[in-house]
Amino acid sequence: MEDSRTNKILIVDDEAHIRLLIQQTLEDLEDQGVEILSADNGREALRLAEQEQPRLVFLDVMMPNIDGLQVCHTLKHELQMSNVYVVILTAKGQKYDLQRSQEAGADRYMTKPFDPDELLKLASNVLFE
Amino acid sequence: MPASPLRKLIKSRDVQVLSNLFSTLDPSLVVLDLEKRPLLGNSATPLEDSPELTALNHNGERVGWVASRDNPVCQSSTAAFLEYWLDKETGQRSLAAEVLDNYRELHLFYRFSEKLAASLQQDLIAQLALDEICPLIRSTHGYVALINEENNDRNVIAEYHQRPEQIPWLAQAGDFIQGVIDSGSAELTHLTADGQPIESERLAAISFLCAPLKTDKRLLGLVFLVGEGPRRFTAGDLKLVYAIALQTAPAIEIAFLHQLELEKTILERDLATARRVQAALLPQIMPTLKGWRIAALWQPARMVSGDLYEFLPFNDGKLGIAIADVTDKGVPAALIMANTRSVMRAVVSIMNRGQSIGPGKLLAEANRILHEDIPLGMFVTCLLVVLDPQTGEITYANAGHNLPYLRTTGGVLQLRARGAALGIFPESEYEEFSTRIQPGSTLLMYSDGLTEAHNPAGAMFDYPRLQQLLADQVDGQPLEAETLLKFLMSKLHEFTGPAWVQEDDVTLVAIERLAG
Repeated sequence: MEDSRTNKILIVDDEAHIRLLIQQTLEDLEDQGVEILSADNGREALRLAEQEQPRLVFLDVMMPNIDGLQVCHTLKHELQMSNVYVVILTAKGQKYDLQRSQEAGADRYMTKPFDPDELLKLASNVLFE
Repeated sequence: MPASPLRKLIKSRDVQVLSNLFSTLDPSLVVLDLEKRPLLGNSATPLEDSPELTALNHNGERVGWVASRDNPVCQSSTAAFLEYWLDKETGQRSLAAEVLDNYRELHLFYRFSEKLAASLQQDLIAQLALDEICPLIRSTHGYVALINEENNDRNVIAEYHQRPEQIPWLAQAGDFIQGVIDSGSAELTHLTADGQPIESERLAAISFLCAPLKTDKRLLGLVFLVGEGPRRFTAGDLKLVYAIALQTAPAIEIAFLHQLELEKTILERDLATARRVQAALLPQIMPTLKGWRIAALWQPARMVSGDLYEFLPFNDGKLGIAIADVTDKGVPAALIMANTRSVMRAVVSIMNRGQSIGPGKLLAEANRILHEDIPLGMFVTCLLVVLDPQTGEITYANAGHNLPYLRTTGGVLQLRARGAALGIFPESEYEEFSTRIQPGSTLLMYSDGLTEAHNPAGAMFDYPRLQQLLADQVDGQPLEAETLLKFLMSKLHEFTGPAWVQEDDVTLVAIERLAG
């Protein structure tokens, strides 16, 4: 049976340069037909996620209006998108944040500055394996 | 159909925004790729109706066209805007790519430091360094070699190959690597396709990079890497490899010291076993002779000793008492000590089957056998005393050992006897001397670890001090054999002080004839 899931990745971060860096990291995947979407706040992220049904979401924690953990929780528990793979990206690296990410339902937790190779590998695995 | 360069530069997320903008400005505007396929704007615009197309250039190369049926001014300004936009976009991406490279380097150091901390094997550390650095700077081939300090030989302990074939012109790297070893600083060189050195990195077909592995004390080895084809090494790669080499070198040094420590532990364990074995070679109990008290003490300077004492029972009831000292100390001396003991026992056992043989002949025979086994430059001093417990008469011969003292009621005498140490000449002979140990007298045999011990001021314990101590009495009574040895050792420690590091093995044997 053909996999009906989309090949879309959503990047959510209020900082433009982080969005650019993640996009640049995932450039090779774009050449393979992966569509990269981006949002600079939580509300837009939820709207795009619902509309585009991405397979993978990179989510910053500290954002205006709805923060990343809330977005994650809404995706996983309210929008019936429990299959979406959520990676929390944060500048903090404390145990407390890791725990809160897990409670929000995140699948993975990465700290900034992220390792580009690790991020690309993770995205490839989620989308193609 | 492959994506056109322009399509790669204008991402799908930009297409919508730019298309909206262009259709608002001029509904007939269309942006075409190099093959004149529409990319942005109104793809229905017939090109044949358009005036002359405006070329779209980026970085000095044509990447596409802009066409407008209705608005030539808009056509040229859109082309100008797109060229400006492409320039900004590529600049931004180049900057992002550089930041990502920095991120990669940063994470390389994170990972590398973490893994280094968990490894104490030189080859694993070297492999870790290669496996991290080579993919990052896209090196196709590399190795880490350690340099032998004594003969400058290079020993490759880790290798990296992206492909198995031999790298061309690798032989030419010899002088380059030697230059790095001589200068102690990392260097980079470029070669053309036919192996000629070339200044320009852009024109190079192959690059060599070499960084020394050094600590503040010494050069341990080197990292050598090869870059080929489109990915030649840059000055940035050189700095990165040098930084990794700076981290790798101390880790390799620590691994080396750890290995030494492990070997030392094994050696110490072996030595402890050797000490127990050697101690078992010495008499475990003192001979019991009616009217006599015999005591002995053996204190090696190291784990094992070159000193020995031995009691050799004769068939006619006499007792041979030998004390010997092998030149040097430690393991070599201990091996010769064990051999000397065996030879002395064998000689006494074989030669005393019939009538009793004197100590001089016994020493001569022992010397003849030992001479073949003792390496040049080593020898064994040995004093052999044969005691008749009935009469108290002693016969003795000396192969270069310290002269014994006889403590009598009338004073302390040094018993003189000279002869070459065992193992020096093949046919040495030993003169025999005799005297009698009277009741109340004690014979002391000792090794030079006692008389040649030094105090912190550099003074030697020496013979006069020993002779004086032997004359000491407690409550008007001479010290009995065992107490005498303990007394001498306490005086030795008093003399050398608490911080004394024992210089040589100390062995003492006291033969006391009971008074009355």
